[in-house]
Amino acid sequence: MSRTMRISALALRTLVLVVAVAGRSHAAARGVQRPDTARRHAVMATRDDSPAARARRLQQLDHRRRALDSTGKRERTVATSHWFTDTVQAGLFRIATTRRLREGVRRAATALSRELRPSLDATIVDSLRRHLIHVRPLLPEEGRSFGPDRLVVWDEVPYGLYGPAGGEAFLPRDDLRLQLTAIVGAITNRTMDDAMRTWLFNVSVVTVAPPATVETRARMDIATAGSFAARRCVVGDLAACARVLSLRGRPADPAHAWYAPEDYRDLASRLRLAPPDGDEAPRLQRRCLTGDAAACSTLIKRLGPDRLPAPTLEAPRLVLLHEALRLGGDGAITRLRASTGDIGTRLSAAAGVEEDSLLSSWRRRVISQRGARIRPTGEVALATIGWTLLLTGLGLRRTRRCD
Amino acid sequence: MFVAMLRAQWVWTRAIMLFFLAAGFALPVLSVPMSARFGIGWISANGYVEVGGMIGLLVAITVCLAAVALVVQNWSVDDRGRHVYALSLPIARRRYLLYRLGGGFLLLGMLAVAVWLGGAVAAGLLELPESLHAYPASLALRALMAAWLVHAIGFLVRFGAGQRARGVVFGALILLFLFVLLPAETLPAPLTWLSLASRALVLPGGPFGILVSPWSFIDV
Repeated sequence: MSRTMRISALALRTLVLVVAVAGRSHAAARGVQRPDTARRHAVMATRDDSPAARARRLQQLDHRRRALDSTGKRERTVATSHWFTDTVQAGLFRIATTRRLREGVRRAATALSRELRPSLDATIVDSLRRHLIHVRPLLPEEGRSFGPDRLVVWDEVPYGLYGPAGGEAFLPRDDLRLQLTAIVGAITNRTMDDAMRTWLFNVSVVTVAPPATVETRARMDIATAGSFAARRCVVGDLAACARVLSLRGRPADPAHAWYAPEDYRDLASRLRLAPPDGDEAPRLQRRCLTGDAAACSTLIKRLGPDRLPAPTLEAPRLVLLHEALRLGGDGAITRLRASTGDIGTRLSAAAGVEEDSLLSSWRRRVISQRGARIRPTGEVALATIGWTLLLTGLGLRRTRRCD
Repeated sequence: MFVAMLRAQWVWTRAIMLFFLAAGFALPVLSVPMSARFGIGWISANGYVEVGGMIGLLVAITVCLAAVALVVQNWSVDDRGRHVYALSLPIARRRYLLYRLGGGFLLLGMLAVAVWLGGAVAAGLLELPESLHAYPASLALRALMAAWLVHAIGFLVRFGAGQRARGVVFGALILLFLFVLLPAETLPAPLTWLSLASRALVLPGGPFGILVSPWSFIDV
């Protein structure tokens, strides 16, 4: 027998032995049932499985979960309460933090306050100064889950950076400024009236320039809205822009104010039907999506005006709000708060210009930059050419070999 | 001398170049009936934008492959001939390499022209809503710059580095690519800086910024 065959035979015998031993121990374990397993099986066999009993069990589990959550929260609060030794008043913010984080937090908060202060009014500033924000480092067990280099920012304002719930946000150090900005936005939102909050879909209102991603999203939202009014807005119809942005409130007949019959198929593809819509609605929707225009019209009529979504979400409206505040300069947000009437009237009062001028300015900012998203910018082009020349130069340098 | 070398380069690489020229022209054009066939795109304006992104991605892959294939084919001819052609020319090695590079850049320029022509034809076939436009020139310009960059990297690796260095550079590129994909928080602390360094390479001012910024054919 060759050496290879001998080794293979030995490996096979070892494998068979391991499998046999494992099988015997498994059979032994199964054969002797543990007492608590037997009891659990007996309990499960006699458990009441009615809906009422299931609901009671779910409720008990929920009570236990809440009790555990609040216990955990209390323990964490006790563990961390001794940390917040320093309360920093930095610009607009009042922040309780640790001695180690104090300077970094003060720097970030002061720089942000300098940037935001000109666009805020006394109402927002007072609210901010009354609001205490906690910033602490991670507990050891938190560091194991979230990574080493993070902070915990805790406040009770909903709509922070990391979601709609208040409470703790675990974020990288570099995101502290973003979180503080989000808190300012949430507080600004709370100081607004219901009409303005509803118009903005209840998102945070940040009075400084929205990031480039919001402007890009606004541009794409308007251009791809699948709405007759949005298409008219893109080519320059300011009245259509006012309709798309709901400056006069939601129209009484959105099926005609926002959409044309050629948009109904796209609209139908976006609709989420519910049981109150009736049994006929899903069939009409399916026929509509295959191209049956009559089915589309019937479906839209049947659903009614309240079920039709607005052509765009908050991004174009945020940009319009910021444009109004930018044009209005100092005191714009105060004028916005104090003014009455529909949203369009209030925004033009804040901006200090006519509504048409405001919409033209907004249109120039959002729509007129054609192809901005995909055209290579000067920075990218120069960097690419520079790197190409550098790499070419490196490749041309003298070497000793030809390979 | 440059024209003669360009002619020789074309003879060596024409099969590959013709394939990629056809692909560069056909991809934008063929995507129009293909996406209509599979139902993508023509219900809503959003669909057009998605199709434009798909075309852009396919063009990006094509031009990068073309640039790499050109480098590999170009210099493998020298390898097979044991550099007799290069050594027999009465010019300095650096000038020789420069001519070869320039020829490669010109051939890749033809590829960008093919992409532009294909994009222009596709733009004519599409009935875009009035809020959207096709940008074949932007796509072709982006394709040209990306192809030149990838060709320069390939040239450096193939001709400016020894065999071991090539292996190291190739492995490093793969690792950096993985670090860009993986979130920094998922990496152990000593490697987080690698993830951050990788992301710096794909910023607009970095060497790979042109490759990761949006490749699309249709926009507002």
